[in-house]
Amino acid sequence: MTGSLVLFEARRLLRSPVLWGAAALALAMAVAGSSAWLPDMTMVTIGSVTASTIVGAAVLISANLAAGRDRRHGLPETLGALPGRAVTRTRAVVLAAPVVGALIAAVMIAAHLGYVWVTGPVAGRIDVYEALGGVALAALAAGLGAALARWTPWLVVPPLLICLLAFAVAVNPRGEYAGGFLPLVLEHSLGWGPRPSREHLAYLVALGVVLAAGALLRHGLRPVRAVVLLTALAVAVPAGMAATASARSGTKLPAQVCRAYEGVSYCVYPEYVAWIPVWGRALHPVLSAVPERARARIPVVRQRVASPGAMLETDEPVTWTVWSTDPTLHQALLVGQVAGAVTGLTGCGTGRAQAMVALWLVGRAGPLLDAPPPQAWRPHGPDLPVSMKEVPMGADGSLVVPGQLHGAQYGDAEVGYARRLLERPDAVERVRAHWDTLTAPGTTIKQALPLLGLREEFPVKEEPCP
Amino acid sequence: MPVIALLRPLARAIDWLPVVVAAALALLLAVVVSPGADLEPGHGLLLLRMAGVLLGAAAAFALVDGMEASTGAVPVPRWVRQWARTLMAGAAVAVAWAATYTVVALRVPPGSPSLSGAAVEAALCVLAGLAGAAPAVRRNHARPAGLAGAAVLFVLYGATQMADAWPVPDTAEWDAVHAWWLAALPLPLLVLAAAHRDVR
Repeated sequence: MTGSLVLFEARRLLRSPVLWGAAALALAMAVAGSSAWLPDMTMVTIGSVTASTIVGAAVLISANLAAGRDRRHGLPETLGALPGRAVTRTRAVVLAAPVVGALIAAVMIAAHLGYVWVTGPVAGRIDVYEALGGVALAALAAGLGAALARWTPWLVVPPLLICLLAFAVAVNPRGEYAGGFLPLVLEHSLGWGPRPSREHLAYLVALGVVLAAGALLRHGLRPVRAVVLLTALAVAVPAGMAATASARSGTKLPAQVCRAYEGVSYCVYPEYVAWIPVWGRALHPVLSAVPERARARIPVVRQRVASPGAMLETDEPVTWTVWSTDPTLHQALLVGQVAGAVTGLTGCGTGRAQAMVALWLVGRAGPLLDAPPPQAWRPHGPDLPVSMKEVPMGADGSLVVPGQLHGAQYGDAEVGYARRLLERPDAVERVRAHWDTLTAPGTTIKQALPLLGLREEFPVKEEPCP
Repeated sequence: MPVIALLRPLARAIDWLPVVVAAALALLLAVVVSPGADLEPGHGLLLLRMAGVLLGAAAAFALVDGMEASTGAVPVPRWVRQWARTLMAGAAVAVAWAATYTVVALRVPPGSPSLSGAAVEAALCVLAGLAGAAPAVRRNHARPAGLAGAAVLFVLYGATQMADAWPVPDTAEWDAVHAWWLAALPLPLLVLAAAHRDVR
């Protein structure tokens, strides 16, 4: 009898438009969430599992309705005359709903990971245990839904519990409190080391068994149910503790590998080599405009785990373990750094030809913004207006760098002349012909204007920066 | 006034438990999150948003009329009864959200940006929960119809996440996005008006 009831519940759930609708919504959310970034499969897997919680929520409510069905619509009287008891129906739900929920979550997660993998270029790696954690979460939700239906008479409990769990996860994105005991930890950074996904998967599976056994215990304390519950609990608690402990153990970052692309060396973490051509293409408008010998000035472009403020403390151009597809964010920061490095610009560029040329190079690669107001150059000032967007760095915070030249100061005149230079069809030839003069630290804008075929137009401040 | 006379029996007929549980949870969390310390404004905002979704999902259950088969024969039309239920549930969850907001506002550090703009988000969540349940309640008189409100809220939450419709205070998006939320308020009201019509 249990077998046919399991099949009935499984077929019913597999045909549920609620579950497949939730999967479609979760897939759309996952694709929307990942499309703004170059795919780092480690983060994409986490994003996919996060979106799959929508499926988990739908499974929880569906399993709750299925397990509580025999108490509604006058069914108790009808079912009372049949040989099957309530425990058989509960058993059917706790066997069928987790399998169906896990299957639908697996389809959703696989579809998302497959889509991102095909669109590439992919960095990082798919953590199979992390992905299976999303599948286990849907199965766990089914057990929870069945247990709630058997232990509480109120239909409002599942949605309220879903809100509470969502709040607990959202308010605790790094798993600072409860860590591995949370359904999932939203954020991750390469600098935090590998996620304890294996331990967390064991915790989720064991907790799912605890909940399913808990649903059956409503029908009476039986040795098998009690042993299953206690055994699962004995696995879940240490697994959760192990996941919590591993998450805080810290790590040593892997050794970097170096590759050359268009004459520039990039040193990156091994899993991010696939992104080097993306960075190379972003820098092409800069590199193609400078003489061959000038490229030797560019230091190694090094990948770092972002830490707010650290970027301005290094002379090496920096790229990161997150990369937005919006060219005005990470790409603009990298282009500004390399433009500054290739022209030899450091610190203050006001009145200097180097700044004008560097801004011209920036303008070749993307939009050239107005100069920031003078107060924006004060380092680390609070709430300063800046001419560059706040650049998100995932779980590592965000960076706000004044101006477009790696924090080097410039003004309206430098931007104005750079824009005039962008309008000239012979700009590349003129800059290459006078490269050494233009990038000499002592060359002023006034001295550079005749070399570039520009006339005096904007008032230039030639006093040194404060 | 027949409508006034209707309020007391309707208040007794409504299943208030979901609203009471949701309100208690929202208030309890507002009190116990970060005990003994100021509440981070980000956590406060998250709490107010969660309270809006919780209360919207709970308010939807107030529309379920288990006696609909019998009340169809009473002289008061269905739309009056359903709107009375809507208003009573709406008023109750508005009070609960306002109480949660007061606790959050008292607990965030002085000088924190105002979170009052989240009220329009909560209003839309509550109306969306009610509007999600109203058509289901029209077709199905059993209590599970109330769950349709939560389902609509979860879909709304997912869809608005993709549209970056949950801004943070002190940004240019805060007012602009909330203007859209305000403009969207009539939509659930239209759904409610259509779903509350008389069946016959």
